[in-house]
Amino acid sequence: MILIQKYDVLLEVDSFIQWIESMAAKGWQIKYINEDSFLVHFKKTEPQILKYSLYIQAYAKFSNDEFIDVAKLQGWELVSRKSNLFLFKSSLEDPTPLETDINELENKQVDMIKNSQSNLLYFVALSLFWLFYKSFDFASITYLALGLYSIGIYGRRKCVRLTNTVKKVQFSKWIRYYNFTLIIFFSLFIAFNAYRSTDSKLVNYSPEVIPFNFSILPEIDNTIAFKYESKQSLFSLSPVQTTLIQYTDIHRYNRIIYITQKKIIWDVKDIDQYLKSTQIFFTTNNNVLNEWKNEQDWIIYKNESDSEYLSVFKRINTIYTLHTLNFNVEEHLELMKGLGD
Amino acid sequence: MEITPSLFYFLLVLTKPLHGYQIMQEVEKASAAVLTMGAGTCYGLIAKCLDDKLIRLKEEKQRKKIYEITPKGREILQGELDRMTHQLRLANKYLGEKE
Repeated sequence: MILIQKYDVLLEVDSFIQWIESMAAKGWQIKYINEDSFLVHFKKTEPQILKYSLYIQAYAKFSNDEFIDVAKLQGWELVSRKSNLFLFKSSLEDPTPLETDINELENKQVDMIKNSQSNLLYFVALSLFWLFYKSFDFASITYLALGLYSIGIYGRRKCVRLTNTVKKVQFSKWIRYYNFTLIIFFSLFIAFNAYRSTDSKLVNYSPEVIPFNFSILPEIDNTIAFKYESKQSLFSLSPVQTTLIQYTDIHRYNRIIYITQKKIIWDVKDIDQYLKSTQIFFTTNNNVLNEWKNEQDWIIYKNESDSEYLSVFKRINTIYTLHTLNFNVEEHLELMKGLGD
Repeated sequence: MEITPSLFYFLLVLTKPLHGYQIMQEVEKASAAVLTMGAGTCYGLIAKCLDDKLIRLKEEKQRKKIYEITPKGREILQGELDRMTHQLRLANKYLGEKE
């Protein structure tokens, strides 16, 4: 069984322990410990009255194996360990606590909270990834969700840093509501997006207008992509700015974002059968006209629009520049053939 | 350096070489059962004192690591004993004067 984390493992240790003890009494024992996850995994067992203890290891020369063995002599069995967090359980009624020095326990909690903030900032950075693309596809919105959720955890733990004690956090309850709201909202959004994406259809485009030896990829929403036969890295242009973004391995991404007048999302697996190399190009409708050079490497896009409209990429070494021309397709093809000779 | 009761008894019992579980048992004995040391506190202190060079690893026997106090550790322990003795003397003197 997987449940949403009710308490912050570091900020609300006592409440977290009470919660998992009550779950154990109902026949659900926690499987893993994780201070940053918003989900908790439980396994079905016989109802048992158990005592749990969370131990924070704070020193480099700590002897983990010996500690676990000696803890067992005091009646504590290791349930799960993640980095320097150990979760133990005991079936004894009143076992000797693992940490009998209360000041030391609080100091270690505060130190761990301070250290965990750098991990959370990674997820906050992911949310900036969304701002860059302003896309509502599954991957991007997941990054945004993780980023915003991490801001919530970061905020709560920042309160601890400012007050330097876990007992004086004033805002943790409100930030917990913030996190729950985000989880519910983004879960619904992701579910809706996944449902919506099943409606996309692949349409074969006629190969008649395609010059040279370009491979045709399926058309979606009147936008066609052409695969370029080369071993070079692919580039894309963002509609927000003209920065080139390099993808070295398209298969690392579950989704490829096509930036045109209308944003289109393809699953890599849907077009995988047409790919022999890891190259897909993106285009925008921001016209960038550059001087033609008599190079042999280039690729053509037909953009979705009211008029015939082609975007052409030319390759000069490893840089692809966009040439977008408002010709009709036939006229443009004549021009292309001439340049290719 | 703050000498907590846990640290004080920890250094006290390590005036003879002991492994982790023995340290916990000896601390309880030395403190007349006032202080019961948890495994986490014990191994935390072992790691901290190794870092601070108050104790050292003497040997490893049958997969058990045996520790003992270092000269620096003895100095800290003696300093704390002197402080406590001085404090006790001052308290007794004050109480004697009061009477």
